[in-house]
Amino acid sequence: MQPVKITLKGDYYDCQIYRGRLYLWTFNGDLKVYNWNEIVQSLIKKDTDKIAMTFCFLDGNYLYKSSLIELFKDVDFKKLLLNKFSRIEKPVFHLTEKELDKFLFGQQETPTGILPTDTEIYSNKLYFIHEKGLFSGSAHRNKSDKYPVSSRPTKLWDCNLLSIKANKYPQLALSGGDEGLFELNMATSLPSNLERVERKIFQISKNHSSFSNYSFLNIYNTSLVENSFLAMFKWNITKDKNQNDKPLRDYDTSIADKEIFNINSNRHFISWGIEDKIYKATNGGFEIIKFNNYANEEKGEQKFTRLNSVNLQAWKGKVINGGTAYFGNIVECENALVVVQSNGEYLTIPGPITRWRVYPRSMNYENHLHVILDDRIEIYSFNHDYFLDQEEKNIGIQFTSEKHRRMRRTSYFDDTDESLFDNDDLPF
Amino acid sequence: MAFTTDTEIDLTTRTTGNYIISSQHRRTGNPHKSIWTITFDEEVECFINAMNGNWKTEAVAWGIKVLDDVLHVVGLNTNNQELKIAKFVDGNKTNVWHGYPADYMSKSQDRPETVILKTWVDNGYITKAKMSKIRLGQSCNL
Repeated sequence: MQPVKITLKGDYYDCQIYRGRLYLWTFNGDLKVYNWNEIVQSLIKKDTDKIAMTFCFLDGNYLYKSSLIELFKDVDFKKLLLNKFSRIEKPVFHLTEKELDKFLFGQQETPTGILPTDTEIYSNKLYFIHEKGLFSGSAHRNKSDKYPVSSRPTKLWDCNLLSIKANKYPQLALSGGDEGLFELNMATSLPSNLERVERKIFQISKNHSSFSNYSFLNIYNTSLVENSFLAMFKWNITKDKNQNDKPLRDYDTSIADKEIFNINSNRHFISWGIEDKIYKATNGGFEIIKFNNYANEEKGEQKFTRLNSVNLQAWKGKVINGGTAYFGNIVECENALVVVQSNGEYLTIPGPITRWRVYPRSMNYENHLHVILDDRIEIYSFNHDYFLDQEEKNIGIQFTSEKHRRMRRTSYFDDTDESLFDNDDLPF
Repeated sequence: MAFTTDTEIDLTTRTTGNYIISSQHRRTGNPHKSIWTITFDEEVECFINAMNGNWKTEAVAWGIKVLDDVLHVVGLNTNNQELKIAKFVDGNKTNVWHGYPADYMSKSQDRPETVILKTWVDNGYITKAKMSKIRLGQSCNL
């Protein structure tokens, strides 16, 4: 099963997708915000393609519904939907910059005037970093506002960070290179045992951090020059002034990459992790570890279990970066971006790759892969993972219904509930 | 011209600042610092190009050695890995500069500012993809 692709021509540097809008940073320093829903609708030429296109590009979460999983056990239903997806694999969905113009929601100079090193949009706020520090400003603004995002963002910290990553709680992992690993914590209750370096910013480790990602409560810290590690957190139940339980997400311990992968040598290797999987780059590919955050070691359950190894063709070069989504692993090699799909198939996108992004923590775009190349952005939609047994698959994040329990659904098919995004804090 | 380390070099006729070749960043220098593998002449020329190209922001300038549109190695980091970007600093704000090979993956302050990298992309010295990797502190074949 092939992914479906939309190509948008233009000279871009970064991208985000959030609540029906596509944010594109152009290389000449503009931020253009497009009405994504309208772009997709414009590409639907036949009514019979509408459902597949909507699942592909507007509501990637819908088909994970447990009730539908039961439906897909019926071969006829499954075949019908697969046929709908395969019908839109072949057509070329391609828009020039001029064609894109009619979907423009708003345009402005990128806030602060410097192209961002990294960006996140979370809870209606744009977070971004560059050499002047970490900034945030309002995003997803009304059409009546002058700019689609705040042109006067707040500077949260002046550290020259390398990358940022949001989790589904109000926290942002901040990788500061040789400055270490930090976290911007916007929750009501803050950790009791981490050093505060700025108003809501805490230092998690002084060890080198190139990029990081959340794995349940924890953060997997990747260093491309030193050892990587899993920073573990635990709930510490304390009492507030009214003697009610007040859970604090406190730092627990760090587990070194060598311990996770059971390696004795001192040789550096690249590893990365997100949610239930941790990956290690090898000479010809990568190997996969299943991380059981809830393992009861007294009962003999293992925290880390080796699953399998994946080989990549030599021409693609050394692994230099990696990421994971539900639909598979994204491995950036020196000469290509490789998607190892959760169904075992491969997709190779030849470089040079300026930037790629996946959105596993979004509510409608979990199945997207955005790839910025020299003269275009390619937006891929992967749709094989809905039909797999999530507990059995080795590649990609395991989809659990926990995601549904934690968040109210905002399907494209429902009316969007604006109030969902108004409150920054979850009740911890 | 024969240069001596740790001695101010008058470059008035060639650029807007003077330069000191630091012995700390040579093979016999400090083992905990990156070292130049290019000659004294090439180090000074790299500085002059950085200044004349206006590849600087306040008290920091950035250099590269370009031959036939290809970036060449200027030094090694403490793990003997090749480095292709030079960093120059005017530490005392006296317009007397010194420099060293920048280890952009290890040290966050060794990454050139976005505006400098964009100028290099616009001049064809590096690609947009490499600019992004440098800012993210990730490996790229410069």
